[in-house]
Amino acid sequence: MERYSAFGLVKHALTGHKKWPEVWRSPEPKPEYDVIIVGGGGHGLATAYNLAKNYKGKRVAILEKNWIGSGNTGRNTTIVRSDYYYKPSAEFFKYSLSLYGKLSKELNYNVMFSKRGSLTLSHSRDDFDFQRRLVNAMQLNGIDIRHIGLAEIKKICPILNFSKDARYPIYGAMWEPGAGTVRHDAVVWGYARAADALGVDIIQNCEVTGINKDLQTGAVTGLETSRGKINAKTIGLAVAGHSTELAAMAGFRLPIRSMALQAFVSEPVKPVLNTVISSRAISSYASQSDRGGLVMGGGVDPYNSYAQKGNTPVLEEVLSGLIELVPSFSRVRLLRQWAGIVDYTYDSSPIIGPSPVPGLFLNCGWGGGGFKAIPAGGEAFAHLLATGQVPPLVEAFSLSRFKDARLVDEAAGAGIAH
Amino acid sequence: MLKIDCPWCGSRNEDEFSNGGESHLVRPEPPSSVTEDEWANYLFYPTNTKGPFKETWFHKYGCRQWFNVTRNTATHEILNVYRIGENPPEENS
Amino acid sequence: MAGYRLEKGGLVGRNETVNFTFNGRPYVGFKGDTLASALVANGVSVFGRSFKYHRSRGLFSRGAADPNTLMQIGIGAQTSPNIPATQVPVTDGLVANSINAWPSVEFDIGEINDVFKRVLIAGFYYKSLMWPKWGLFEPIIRRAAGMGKAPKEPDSASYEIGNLQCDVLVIGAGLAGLHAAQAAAGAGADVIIMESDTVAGGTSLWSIGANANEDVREQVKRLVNEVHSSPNIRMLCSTTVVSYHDDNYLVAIDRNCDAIAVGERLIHARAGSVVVAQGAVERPFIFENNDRPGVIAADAFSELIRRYGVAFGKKIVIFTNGGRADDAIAAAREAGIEIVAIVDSSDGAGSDAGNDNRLMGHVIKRAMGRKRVRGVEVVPTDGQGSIKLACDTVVVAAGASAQLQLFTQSGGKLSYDEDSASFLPVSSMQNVRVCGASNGTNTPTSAVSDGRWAGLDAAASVGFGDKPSVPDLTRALEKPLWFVHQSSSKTSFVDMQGDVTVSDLALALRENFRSIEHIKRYTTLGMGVEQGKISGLAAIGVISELSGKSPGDVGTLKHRPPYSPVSLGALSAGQKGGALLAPIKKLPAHKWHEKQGAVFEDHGWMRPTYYSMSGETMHGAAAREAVAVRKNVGLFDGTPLGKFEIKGPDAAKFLNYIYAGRMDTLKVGRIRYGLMLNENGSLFDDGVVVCLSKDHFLINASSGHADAVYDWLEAWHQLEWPLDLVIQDCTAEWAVATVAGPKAREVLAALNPGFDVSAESFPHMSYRAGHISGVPARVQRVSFSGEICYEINVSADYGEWIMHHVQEAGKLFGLVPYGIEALEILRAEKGYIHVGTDTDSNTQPKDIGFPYPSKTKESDFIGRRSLMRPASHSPNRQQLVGIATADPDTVLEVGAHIVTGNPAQSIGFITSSYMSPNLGCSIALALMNGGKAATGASVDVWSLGKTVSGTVCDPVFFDKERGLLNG
Repeated sequence: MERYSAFGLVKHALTGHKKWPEVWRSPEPKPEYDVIIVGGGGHGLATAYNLAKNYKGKRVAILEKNWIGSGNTGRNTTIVRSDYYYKPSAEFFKYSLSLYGKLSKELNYNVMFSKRGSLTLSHSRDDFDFQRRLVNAMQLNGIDIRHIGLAEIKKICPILNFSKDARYPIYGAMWEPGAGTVRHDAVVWGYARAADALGVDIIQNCEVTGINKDLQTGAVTGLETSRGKINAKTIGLAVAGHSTELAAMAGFRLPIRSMALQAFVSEPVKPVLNTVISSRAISSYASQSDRGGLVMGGGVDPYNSYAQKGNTPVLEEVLSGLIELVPSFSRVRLLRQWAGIVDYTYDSSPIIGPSPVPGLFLNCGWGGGGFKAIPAGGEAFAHLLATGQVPPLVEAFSLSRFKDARLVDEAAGAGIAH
Repeated sequence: MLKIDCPWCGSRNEDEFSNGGESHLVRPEPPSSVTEDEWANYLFYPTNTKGPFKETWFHKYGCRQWFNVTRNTATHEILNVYRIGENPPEENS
Repeated sequence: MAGYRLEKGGLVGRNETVNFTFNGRPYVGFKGDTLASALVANGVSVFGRSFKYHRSRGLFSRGAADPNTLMQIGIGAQTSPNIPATQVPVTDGLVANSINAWPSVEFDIGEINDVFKRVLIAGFYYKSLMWPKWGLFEPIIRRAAGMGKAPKEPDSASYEIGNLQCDVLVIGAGLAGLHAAQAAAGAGADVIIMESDTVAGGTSLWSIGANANEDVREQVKRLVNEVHSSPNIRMLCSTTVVSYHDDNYLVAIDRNCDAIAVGERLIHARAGSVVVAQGAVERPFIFENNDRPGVIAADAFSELIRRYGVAFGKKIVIFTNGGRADDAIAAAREAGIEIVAIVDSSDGAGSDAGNDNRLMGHVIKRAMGRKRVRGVEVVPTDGQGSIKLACDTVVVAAGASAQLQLFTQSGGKLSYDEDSASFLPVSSMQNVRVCGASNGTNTPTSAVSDGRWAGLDAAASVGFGDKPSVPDLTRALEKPLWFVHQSSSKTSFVDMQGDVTVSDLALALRENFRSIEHIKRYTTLGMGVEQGKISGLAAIGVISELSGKSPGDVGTLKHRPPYSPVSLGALSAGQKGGALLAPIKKLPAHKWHEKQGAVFEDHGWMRPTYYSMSGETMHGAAAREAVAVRKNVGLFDGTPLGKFEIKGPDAAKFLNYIYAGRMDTLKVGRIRYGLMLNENGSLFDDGVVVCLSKDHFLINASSGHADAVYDWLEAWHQLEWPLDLVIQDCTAEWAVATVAGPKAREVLAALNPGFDVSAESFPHMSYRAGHISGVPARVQRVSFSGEICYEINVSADYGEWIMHHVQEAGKLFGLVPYGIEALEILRAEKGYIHVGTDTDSNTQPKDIGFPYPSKTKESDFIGRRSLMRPASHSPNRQQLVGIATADPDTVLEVGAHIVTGNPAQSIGFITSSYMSPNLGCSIALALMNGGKAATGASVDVWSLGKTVSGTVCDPVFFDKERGLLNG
């Protein structure tokens, strides 16, 4: 893999940029691999990269139905943070955020990790008291997060609506200075390039149409795809909202519900918002991309959907909520609106672990919070696929927790998205 | 904006309604008789169809009646509407 | 100074001048000018600077599609960034400024980027700026990025919303759209036309058609008059349809307002059927320096002459592909503009342009000049040789880009048609069809038949008239020249707004970004304000040639709403803001509370947190009130309590399902506390159940959950247990005056309610009905404070009266009004919980001391099965306890955690905490792992770095024997 650097840019400029190598190959699928990952999003690619890097000697392929990153990884609002309540979640997301901090170096690809902090506003005494419970739990779990009042909020984000006449006046906030944003496409491409360089076959435009199992043992033996049959004894599913469909091919159900989560970007304007803002009372959040657009989001459209589109009630609720928070945004214009398919579990916590089918493993249920989980999720899932063992980092997120009612209810930590 | 035909009030916009998830859910009876797996299945494992999906809607800001809708979750096209306790129209033939 | 005003011609009001400023300089225009046409008329060439390379840019296209003329319009609170000058009507006092240029658009420091464009290639930031860290470079990149400036002050404009319905919605009032509307209306349908431009007419405003005998403009004028006089057609101009949602629900923005007081008007439209007649725009020819000021699309050029009476330049070269430029040539001749040459890249077959000395089989290799074109270099498509021609304008006619964004938003699919070199609609997902230039027609005659077909088809689809047969349409045969190969690719611009060149696309392909979506994201193609309106098809063509794939295989860029940008303020018009964001609910007795000095907080309803007597703090007032209640008697407004009547033979049976406890054994006139669980066994709500008669119950729900409980009851009744009963929400029907304290009975007696109020006759947890001064009253003897307490319910119409009346009756007994804060202290002293505060989504009845299911209730209830799970019996569950601090004056913080170990780990948290004036010490409730078994243990309570010592104790701090309640 040719190293990227400013020096390299100049060098290539001298040869008219005609010698840049491919970021990844377009290999034909082989008839068999040791491990196949279904789903070419951030989680799948990070898993493939970790497999290839840490568990050498395995033949690994990623199968992606469309083009890599075309699912939720290419549709999210790029926020990374670790303010989760329960210990297993806190440990996991804290670790993931720390990996994001080193990811550009790890992949030699600028993922543009911008440590600009995340401000979650509260709007009443009760709200503020509730946040204290969260902040204390997080601090006890080693997360750098603070509980701050108006004066500090004003310094961090002066453009917020501090009027006492606001319907929901700002009272206080949770402030995670180490949180921020990351360029989502760069995460996809960075992992893909690095994984490909380590020998992973990234196979795009390859849709899985069936999962084959051994008649005697019931263990997985391979996949039927739009590009032919491909065998493997270890298969990992990382397909987010489509997990139910894949599970059905293997004959089991999943405790997830797929819904549309909208996201929005405004026209590009000069820097005006320097942190990530969200509100507990008003279901909206926003940050400003490095290109200048305000990237905004809120809650799901409240019904099942695979359509990757959302409707006007949520759109207008989210955008009008944003103007409540920052009235001067009223004349900024919406440029583009889209949606992803997010898969929610009952407790808003993910599922990483074995499926009921031997050899078939699950990575799903991230809801609207999967992007920030990519580096740690990839590492954990790779370990699972390589060894069959669930790493301690994700033990709490097993499928079996539902039967045992050992839920990890992160509705509060998952934020507004649910 | 989905256009939902409430069986009592007629065609109304989706923001008058709230969605109740899948319909024809069978609550295990009596609950004390089911295993942990069966109970977890009922509580936590919703049907999550991609395609025509039977779900319940509640006309919250109207007549406050629940009814069934078959809606294609991949396109949002609403195929039919029928009352609680009835069968979906395509099954009545 | 290239552009100038023609002496005559155009549709502008030459008698009405308008004064405006651009970049601080004053200019004059005519009424009817856009900012773009007025500036060109004044000889302005450089309108702005490009995004990345800061190259000078001038007017290229028209309407919403122009990529180069984005302006900052207005100042201060009324400034709007990034508005194309082609869409701004000039008005007196208009202030316009270029963006993305410093110190001025004439001399912009940013142009240094153009020098470095060899390094600033597509995606350069992915390959660099990592060391030492991105954070160092980010501020520079951020400042360089972004176009206009967001306002700093809140918006002073207001926004309106309108809701429209119709049988047929026609999008676009050009020739095709007008005919569609007329045809649909003729079939009997109710029609709305929405036209983005200020007037109807579309292309006819500047184009007279390939056959000069057809005076299209006259035809359109007649049609517009007919439309105006038709009773079932409404035409809205300056109205842009921006998004297409489910079930033919469309959002449009109406700009028929002054943009000062009223910013924009949001329109929600539900259409039975839709006709898309959005037309097409001329896309760019791609050659070296095709972005220079002076290069202009043929449609924009003709529009300037025929609509605005403005000549774009004095000496023009026309670059066309076959017969596309005929309108521009005719317009130039009408205006007396010198045509230096017509360069035609086609080989002449199929065009009837043989009589105007054009250079067939030639292309423009490059344009020369920086701030304005000063000449072009022309080469043959095949072969050697090069001619240089001096000119100040290049009019390009490369081919049309059909505007199909709304159609694809609706779910419609496109397919590439080789013959016309365009993507055409092939299938719809909703009731929508496309006609006119957006359907690929290229003559007025086809536009007319296509429009008529579309109108009749749309009307028939919703029951008006018969379905028409599909007409035979002519489409021009196109052999597109996607880009000039002889040109230097690094200054051949495909997306002018994003500074994306042919070499950028080639680089993306070389690096194996194959999918058009990857190419788009990598190069930022089509990601600017222009959103691919003209750059989209141009790019697909370039990629097709570079990769060897047909344009159909390359595919299209996914179009997303909105079609053109919409202010967030307009999109919020329906939601409103400020006080209307969520309605504020006031108690019936609000005025009475105000008179008592209430300090209100929003608890869902505006409720008194405390009553301030002569400048008391909250803590002082609440303490005073809480003491007064336990000493004498207090008065509280309990109106927001959820109240539901369940009536019918199966009422008790239903309540047995809803509550964890038994309600069928509740006797008439008695009250029982109940817990509602969700199916997962967790606490959903708590409240009392009153038995009014054996088939009539009244249940209370906590005020914060009233709505949710009402929906809950309906859902279970209709979906699971359709028993014989009705459910009636009467939460807002009854006002509640709560009288609590040792002297409460005396107060009730003084009110003379018409029943025996003695302790024997009216015990705790019972109900009586009577009248107070003739007003019907329901009285529940229940208590949240642990004192003798009566909740007096009267009709909400008497809400203010009852508070006043009780206060009067209570004067003799030292009655004092008390608010929420005092109530919280009192109930915490008694260890009474708030569901949602002292419980969370995991809390089950046994955790708070209610060992359900009880042996006496064998029947099923919601959540029962979940309580049987092993996890429900774990001794380590979080259970409700009290925490007493070692130092009685230290009040624990709500949300502090009980910790153990090193490093400290949380084993619980404080849910409620107060200084108790009745006990003279702090009290707190907490949820703690295995709390019950830990009673008596010392604990550390930690909050934000500080630790306080405490002891686990009984959550009931006051009157543990519960003697007072039964007094």
